[in-house]
Amino acid sequence: MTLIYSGAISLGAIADEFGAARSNVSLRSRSSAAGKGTPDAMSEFYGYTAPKAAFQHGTTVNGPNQTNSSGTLVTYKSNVLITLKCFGGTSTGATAYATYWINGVGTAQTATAPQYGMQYASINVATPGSRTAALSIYPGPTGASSSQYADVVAS
Amino acid sequence: MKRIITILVASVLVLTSCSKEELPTPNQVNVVVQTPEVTPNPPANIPDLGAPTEAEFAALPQWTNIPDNVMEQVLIDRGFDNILDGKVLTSKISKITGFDSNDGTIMGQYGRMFERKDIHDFTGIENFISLQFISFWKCPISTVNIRNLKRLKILGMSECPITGTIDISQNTQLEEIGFQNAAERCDDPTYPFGKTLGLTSIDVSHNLKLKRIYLACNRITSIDVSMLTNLEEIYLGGSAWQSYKVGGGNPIQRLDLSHNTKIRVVNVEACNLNYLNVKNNGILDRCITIYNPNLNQILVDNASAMNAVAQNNPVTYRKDAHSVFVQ
Repeated sequence: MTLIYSGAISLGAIADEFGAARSNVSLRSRSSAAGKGTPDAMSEFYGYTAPKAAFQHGTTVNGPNQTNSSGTLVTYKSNVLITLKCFGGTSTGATAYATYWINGVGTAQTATAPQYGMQYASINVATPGSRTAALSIYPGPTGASSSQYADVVAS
Repeated sequence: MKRIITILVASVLVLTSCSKEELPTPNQVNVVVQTPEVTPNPPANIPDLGAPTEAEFAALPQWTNIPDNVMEQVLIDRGFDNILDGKVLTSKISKITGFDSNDGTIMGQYGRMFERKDIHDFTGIENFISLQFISFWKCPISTVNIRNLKRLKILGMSECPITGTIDISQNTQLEEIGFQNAAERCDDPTYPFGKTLGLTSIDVSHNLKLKRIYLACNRITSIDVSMLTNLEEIYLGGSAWQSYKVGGGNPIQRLDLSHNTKIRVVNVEACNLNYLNVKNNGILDRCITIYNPNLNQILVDNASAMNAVAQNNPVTYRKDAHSVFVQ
């Protein structure tokens, strides 16, 4: 995903590039997330490609005894060791010791219909790279900001 | 073997003779799904063009006429000329690449030097034969002759008052075309783009290296990208405005991306689609189809997977409630 090399660039387009919501987009925050200093300018984003998460959206959280034949998480499981490869740590706006919702695909333990589970954990993302943490996996909660999403894979 | 080759050749002929009108209509979707997918043969390999040869430079005239004073003044300001006399030494401009350096740095001051300048006549641009990047953003031109710019990789013509189309058939090295107008102004009645100005069509059939197409807020009614096997991103709808503004797309009804197997981003926001096929592309990184009131089905490889991703990624996947993924 790459922002256009010429013409007008809007904050909305920049937000899209980061996979962030279009509302309340701050140029400074996006510039900071892109590792750019001040002064800020929209032109800094010509041809900019936000670092991709290490795994595609929709990556299934796989792990022993947690998946069906399709690799889909089917039950609650605690202490699942997953690796979060964040968008690049502080240089791209991740916050150290922040709580990040992590996408997974699963079936709620108590849900009446399949839900798409999310999990959370406090993971140190102060520096770029991958982090591992033992997580508990729960069915999809509410209130997670999509900008906080990250993709995960079990390790 | 000969029989196989004959069949392949015949298949190619059939494929290349298909017109857009022969695409299935929406109510024939099931027929399409059940028909074995036919992947077109890879396009003919288009070699990378290096820098122009000495012979190409030698074939240029010594002087290049620059009848537009504003354009020549830009060249003077940039040190490529020193007298406002309607001409410039060709040797001064024929090696400009538009990039800042040989490493492909794109923030190129020279590729952008004509942006937002009141240049009405780009006569002379034909001798900028080394250009790989040029932006005419907001120049008051409805057309421009870029047929001689054979090294061009990135073309920007956003907010140029184009009334029809632009010939890019000779620019076979193009990797990005940017005709994207300001979608965030789509609801401004005084903003003409997408209303009375903007592309009405674009032929990309000769631009087999295209990776990115930015066409938001134009007037295109149809586009055939089936031959663009390198295409990664296509923006026919705006990605630039707040959700309360609806518009800025193109009045296009059908888009078949099933042959573009490298597609990662599809933005057809606020178009007029009734048919969208993104099969053979797996899970897209971004798929924005919202504000297409007649788009009831989106053809995908795996509907349940796409639903899961869409549900988990409401920012990068935006679609109307009535649009459902089907496989």
